[in-house]
Amino acid sequence: MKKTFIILACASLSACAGHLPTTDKGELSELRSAIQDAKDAGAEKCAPEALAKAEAKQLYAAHEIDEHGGYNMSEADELIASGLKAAKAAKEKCTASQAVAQAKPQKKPAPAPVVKTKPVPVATPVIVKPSRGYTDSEVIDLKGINFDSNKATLTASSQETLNHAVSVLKERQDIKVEVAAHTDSGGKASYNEYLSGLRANTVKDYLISHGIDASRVTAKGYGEAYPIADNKTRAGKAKNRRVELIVK
Amino acid sequence: MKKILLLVAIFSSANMAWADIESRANAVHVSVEGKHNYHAAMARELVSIAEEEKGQHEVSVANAFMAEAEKHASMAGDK
Repeated sequence: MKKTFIILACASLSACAGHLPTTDKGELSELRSAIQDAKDAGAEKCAPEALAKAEAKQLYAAHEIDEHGGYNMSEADELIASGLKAAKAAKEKCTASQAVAQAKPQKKPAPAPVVKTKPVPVATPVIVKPSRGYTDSEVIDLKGINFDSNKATLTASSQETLNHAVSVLKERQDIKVEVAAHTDSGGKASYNEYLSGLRANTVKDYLISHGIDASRVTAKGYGEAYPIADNKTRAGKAKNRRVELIVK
Repeated sequence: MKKILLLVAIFSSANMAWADIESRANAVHVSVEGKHNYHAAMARELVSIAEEEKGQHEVSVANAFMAEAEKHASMAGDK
């Protein structure tokens, strides 16, 4: 009996050594992306309260997911929804304040910027191998569209490349395209398919927001199913994390 | 008698942990008062979670969130 009490006391003390949960969970990917978007928009400065709320909700949701082990996710879902709302509000606040700042008249006309021309990767049409699942299709390979691991947000350099894709699509009004996103083989196949779907939709949204008719664009995530390089090397993995436009 | 003493020790230890969280929460609130930057906001949000977890008797979780709140409070600067 004495031993039982000692064990209980030890357990009670050890329970005090808690750790914060990790937020790299698949369930939190959308919220992670939204928070990253807000940060990219400068939310730490222009919307600190909303950003902090989103990040705190993310941590709390991660704890709830750990606690329930994937079951009874309603509390985590509520936290995720609340975090998403805060992250989007933070981004919108920053975007609005930037627009106001740009609209203010300048006291002195700014000198013309010196533009350094840099070679930009241009969307290059290539024909794909039949094994990929979309045979006999022309593919606009969007070289330069990269995503960080586990994220679906576009980097600035990716947007530059996408602008070229927009130009190509505006020139060729007769074609419809499918945005096909692929991942490397890291992580679970089901999560990779989910993540690539998010990335494909991110690119699709970008094209539509830049004037391409929504009826001309569809999006699909292929996950890790169609690698074009060796997934054992870092360089190969980077190549496999790619986005292509399949001409329909 | 020994059993009773041990039980008292366990419960008083838990009470101390809860009281400790309360005093730490107050300290964080005081240190970020009037500050409206990102770290101050994070500290407030995390203290709020820690207090909620304390209310659900999750002392270890409350401690983890409180420690993170204190970290952000220490980075909140002067304004």
